Amino acid sequence: MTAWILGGALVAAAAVLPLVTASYLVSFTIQLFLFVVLAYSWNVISGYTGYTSFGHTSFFGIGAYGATLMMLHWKLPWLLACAGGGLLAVAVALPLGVVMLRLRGSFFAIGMFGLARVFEAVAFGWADLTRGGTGLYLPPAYDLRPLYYALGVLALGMVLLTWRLDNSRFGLQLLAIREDEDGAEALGIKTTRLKVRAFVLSAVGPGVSGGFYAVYLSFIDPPTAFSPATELTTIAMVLFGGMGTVLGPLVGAAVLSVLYEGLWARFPQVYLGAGGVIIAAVVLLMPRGVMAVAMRRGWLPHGRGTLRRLAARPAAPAEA
Amino acid sequence: MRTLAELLANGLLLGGIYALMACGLNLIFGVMRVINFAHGEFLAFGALLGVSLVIGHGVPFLVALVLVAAAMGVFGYLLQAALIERVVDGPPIMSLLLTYSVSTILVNAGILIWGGGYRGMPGVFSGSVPVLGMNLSQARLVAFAIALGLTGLVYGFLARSMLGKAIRAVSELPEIATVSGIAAARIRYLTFGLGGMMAGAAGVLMAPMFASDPQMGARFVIKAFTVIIVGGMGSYAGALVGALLIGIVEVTGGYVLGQTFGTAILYVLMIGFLLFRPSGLFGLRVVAR
Amino acid sequence: MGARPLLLVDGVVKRFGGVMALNGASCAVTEGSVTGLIGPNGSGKSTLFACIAGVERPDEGRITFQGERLDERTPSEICEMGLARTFQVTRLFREMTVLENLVAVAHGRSDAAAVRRAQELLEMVEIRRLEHALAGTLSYGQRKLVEIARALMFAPKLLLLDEPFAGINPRLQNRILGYLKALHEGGVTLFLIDHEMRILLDVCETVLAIDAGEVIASGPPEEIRRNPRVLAAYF
Repeated sequence: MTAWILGGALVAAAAVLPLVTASYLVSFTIQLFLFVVLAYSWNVISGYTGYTSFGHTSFFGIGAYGATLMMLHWKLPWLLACAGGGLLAVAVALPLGVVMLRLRGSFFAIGMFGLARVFEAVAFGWADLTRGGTGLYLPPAYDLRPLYYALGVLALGMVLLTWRLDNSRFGLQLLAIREDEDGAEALGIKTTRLKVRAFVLSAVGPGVSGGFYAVYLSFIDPPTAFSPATELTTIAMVLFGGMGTVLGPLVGAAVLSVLYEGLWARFPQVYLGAGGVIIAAVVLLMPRGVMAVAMRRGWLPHGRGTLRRLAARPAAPAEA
Repeated sequence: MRTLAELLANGLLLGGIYALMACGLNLIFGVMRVINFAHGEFLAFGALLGVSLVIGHGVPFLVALVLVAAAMGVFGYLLQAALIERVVDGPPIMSLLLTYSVSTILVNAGILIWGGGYRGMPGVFSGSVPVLGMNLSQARLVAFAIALGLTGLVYGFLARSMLGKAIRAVSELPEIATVSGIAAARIRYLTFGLGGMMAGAAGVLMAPMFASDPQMGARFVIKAFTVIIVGGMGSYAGALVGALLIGIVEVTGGYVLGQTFGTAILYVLMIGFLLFRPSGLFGLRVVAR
Repeated sequence: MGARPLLLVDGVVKRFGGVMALNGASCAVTEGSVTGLIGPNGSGKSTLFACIAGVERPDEGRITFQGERLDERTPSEICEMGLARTFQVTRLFREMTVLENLVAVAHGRSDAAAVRRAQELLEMVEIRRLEHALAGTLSYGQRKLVEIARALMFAPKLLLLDEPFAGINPRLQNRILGYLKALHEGGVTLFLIDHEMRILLDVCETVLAIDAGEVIASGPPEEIRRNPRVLAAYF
């Protein structure tokens, strides 16, 4: 109950923020929302399903270019164009998932990394469409508030979606794939179908938010769209918070965003390496992240409460 | 107008340097099943250290080569001993994440040391040499010869010396690593050192050909992955053949399709091999699944 | 006899590199029976199970279940047809609770129905009290019981049991034996591998003996025990 009150207060605070404060905090929160979306999306495929991706910026970039081109050529309103970018990312993710998920472990990670570089090369090389390294320009957005709310809703949606996932059989089956894919398959879990579904699901957030990012910057070029730094930051956030947990990505995104903001202001020269240091520290010291530590110490309840509540229910009177 | 023969020869020459780098990467993978994502940064550091020594301090090229290779070897040994050894027995993805993080830390460190810009090593080798009627760059010829020599030297070390045989034993039967404890750990340190040395040397050899910058590692590590995936994970000879092949594909692909799409071809090749022939051309085991 | 074969294995060959693991194995499991599979180590018992469950694909021969080919389906499809299994070395999802282990493999039901079914099964093997324990924290015997309960989640027609009695104490062996007999009475066909001759003789109606990748004998347990080819393979 307290969790819901706390969450509600957080959402309410986020909702009134742009009405009361200056643009700096709004701008910061937009980037926070962006990383919340990316972290939760990555968490679905890499945290729950166990397929660590080093190339999810592929979908971010595809969404960014898709939305920008739809705005420029078809004159679509930005919100619709961003949804279109998400759709495009999904359309690309479906066949890619079928193919790439045949790889396992480190090979999937490296394959995805290579894939992101392929898309980046295409964005550079297909100059007729993307204007290559020059990039594409959009009319600047003077009022960031609509964007703020759109990203906020998307971020909230990702949190709720993950909460649903964590409490569903689909989520359990993804965890089963993470632990023992062959065993899961032998027990009747349709592993291929489920992991492709998780992969496609994990492409929606990056696809849509890629468009939002292009609107935010009013500019997109290949290094921005397919930036390895975005990937690194996302991974660091989820690892820090805890892979395969409901609140981990939120905690990771919030803590690291504040940390990065501080570093950026005071020690910009080490800013890039910070993500690396965090990942190394987490891998060596607490590979399951802070949320797992909190759960083990009993500060937080373990996830997947719905099942527990169902189990506690007295047997239903005679099934129909 | 370049002839086809010249194109192929240039690809082969480039492939020689890739061989030096990729053989080191494959050696590390073979011995401890760790994919060193930071291998490209070893190369970048090698190149930038080389530029600093040769251009900044007037050290002769070959002396710089030896010094840098030794320094990167020691660095690799220490990195393994201090960090990577701690996750070597864990899930492979943990060691990959760790080397991935080391890679970004090194990029940042490189920018702090050398700045973000490109640094060249002009005037060390210049001009071209006529070989069999083709005009080949002197820098490439020298680099190719030294790279292949070093690759062969390491191969000889692995085949002949006691230590080299021990490394191969651990590579072929990883179980003995757990049986003989400390000795196996020392072998892993040495292997990582050897891999680091080879990547560092490859960097120095590359410096006269391309301008170097701290972020060049990502471009080359993916080529090295392609090489070992095409050649066969864990196979030293496979990495050599794969490297020469990739050099040729890259140069001809770049000529036919233009620079950006030419590089993309390599990634497509890598993903294709991962999916359809995960054991590569020479790998004995199917390790990707 | 008259009972029709539920599972039919016909001339199955499986090679691993140069090694012939199965060399034209043929056998039948009749509906409603308890069939045992015995054979020395390396005789091909586990490979045969793996081929039936779809984990390995036979190089030659065919396997049918209720008249439908199995040897071209994925393990999960085979499972869905009503053929469940347990593993020689237990393979629970260690980071999930016992209840979650069962619910994860359920399909077609609402979550509430899946939970209820899981609880009934845990009740049946008398470990309901462990439902919220993490699978990784259970004893070996408890893990065996969870595996049996999990295999029953989608009411299989045929249950493959790979050494259900290995490595556990006689008291638990008898307990499991009791559960299996109850399942048999409930109409489930059982096909099990085991080394424990005592138990096989007690529970099985038919015993198949496999050696060097071939089924060399089949019949009632007493007959198999006296069969000269079986004796030759064992001693």
